[in-house]
Amino acid sequence: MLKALKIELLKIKGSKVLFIAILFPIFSVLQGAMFLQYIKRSGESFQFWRMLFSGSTFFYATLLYPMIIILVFAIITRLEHINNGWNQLLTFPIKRKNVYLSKLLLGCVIIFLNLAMLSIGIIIAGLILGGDANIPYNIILGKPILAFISSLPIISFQFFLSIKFKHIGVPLGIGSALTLPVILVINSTKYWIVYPFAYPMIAITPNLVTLSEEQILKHYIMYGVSGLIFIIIIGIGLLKFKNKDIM
Amino acid sequence: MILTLFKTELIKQKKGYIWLIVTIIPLGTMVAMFLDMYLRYHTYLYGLAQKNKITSWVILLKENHNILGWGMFLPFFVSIIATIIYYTEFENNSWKKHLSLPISKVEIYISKFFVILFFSLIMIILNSLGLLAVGKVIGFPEVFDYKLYANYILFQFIAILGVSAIHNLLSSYYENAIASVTIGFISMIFSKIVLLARPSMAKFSPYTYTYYANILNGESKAIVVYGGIISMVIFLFLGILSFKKRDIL
Repeated sequence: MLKALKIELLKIKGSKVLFIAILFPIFSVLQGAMFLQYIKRSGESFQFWRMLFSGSTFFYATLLYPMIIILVFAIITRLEHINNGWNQLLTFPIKRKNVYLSKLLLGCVIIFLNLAMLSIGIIIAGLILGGDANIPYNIILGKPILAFISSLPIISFQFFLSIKFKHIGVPLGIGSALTLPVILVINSTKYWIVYPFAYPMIAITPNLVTLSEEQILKHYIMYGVSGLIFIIIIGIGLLKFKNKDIM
Repeated sequence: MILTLFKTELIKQKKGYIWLIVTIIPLGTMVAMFLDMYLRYHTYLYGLAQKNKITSWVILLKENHNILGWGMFLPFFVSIIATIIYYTEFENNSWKKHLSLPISKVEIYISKFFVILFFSLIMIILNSLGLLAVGKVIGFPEVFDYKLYANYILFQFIAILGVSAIHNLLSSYYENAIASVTIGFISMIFSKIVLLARPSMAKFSPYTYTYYANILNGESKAIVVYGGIISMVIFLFLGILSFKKRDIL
């Protein structure tokens, strides 16, 4: 498994996937800094770190983060789709399960790196913009971790599509079509639970008001559902991958 | 000759994924807008329309364009369409065949551009048809505003001319399909930031023209029309120059 992961790491060395993972959070932090300056100018009272975090994560969680997941898996699997890479790979004496899981793990690591960059970026931007030393680490570091857990359905779904379809337009098109309604779905306290693409936004939003018991319960259900969907989709994907023909 | 090439391109895409993409995206927006209207029309949006003395169809259009983000995403969807169209050539390694035929490279390049526009237009029309269906199902009391939606389609089409030319150039240049899509995505995000932070600068980015396509007032119309056409001419010219230099390898 470790060997397979090392091979995967070597493969992505020349790709721009790490660049994408690092670049996108910078956009979000810039946006958060602009939002903070806007609030400052308006003269309203505000909580510095919470505002910076909210400003940086709103656009990120609704749009950027799901798109990063889509792009990361499209890039990782593209290398095998071109030049008959799957055929070569699957004839090697490596367990198919290890190939599949190492690709998934690599994607998860890059996505996690992206979230870590977001947290680090917010802290650095906050300190530059004059934030106090009472950094709310539980929000800035904790919420992105929850966002990662809640995005497991998107991760598994996009990984499944990227392995299944040779044509990158399919995972990109389907993924972006499903990302588009997120901004509308999160406005519904009733229906967001049935739309997994909205989960990262729900998980990352700092609770500015006290949540009702029903909403808290829905949050717990969300993490459970996320794990369950992930296991189901990855299980089906792995079974299909094990039975994949070498053409 | 361009028309023949255009028809050939359509045949090539017949069994491809392009039809799936141009249908599934508007279908997604239709479902999202239906959900939005189902949840908020009777309780909030209808009242808002009456207060502002506008019709439900205008509210629906604005929800689709600004709240759902169709206006922002459209250039990115065009980039996906362009990628799919060029992917066929790279996948089958058919550039060699095409470029050695006695057909002008310029004509091949322009026919590809028309194919991108054709599929983008279909996607735009399907989005508006989806909105019409949502309005009918929800039961808007006003008569459907054909003129508004025809203008909406027209201005979106003009707004994507520049972006289509850019992605015709990028998709023909990069064999790696993800490169062109990623550039499209980054440009879309960057343009959104420019639009918020420096609105006066936004008119210089072809990726922002689709934002203006629903407002249809004087200045926005001018930005869409002049911006769309000028950027198309510039990038089509640059693309032709680049494509003409392409070697047969």
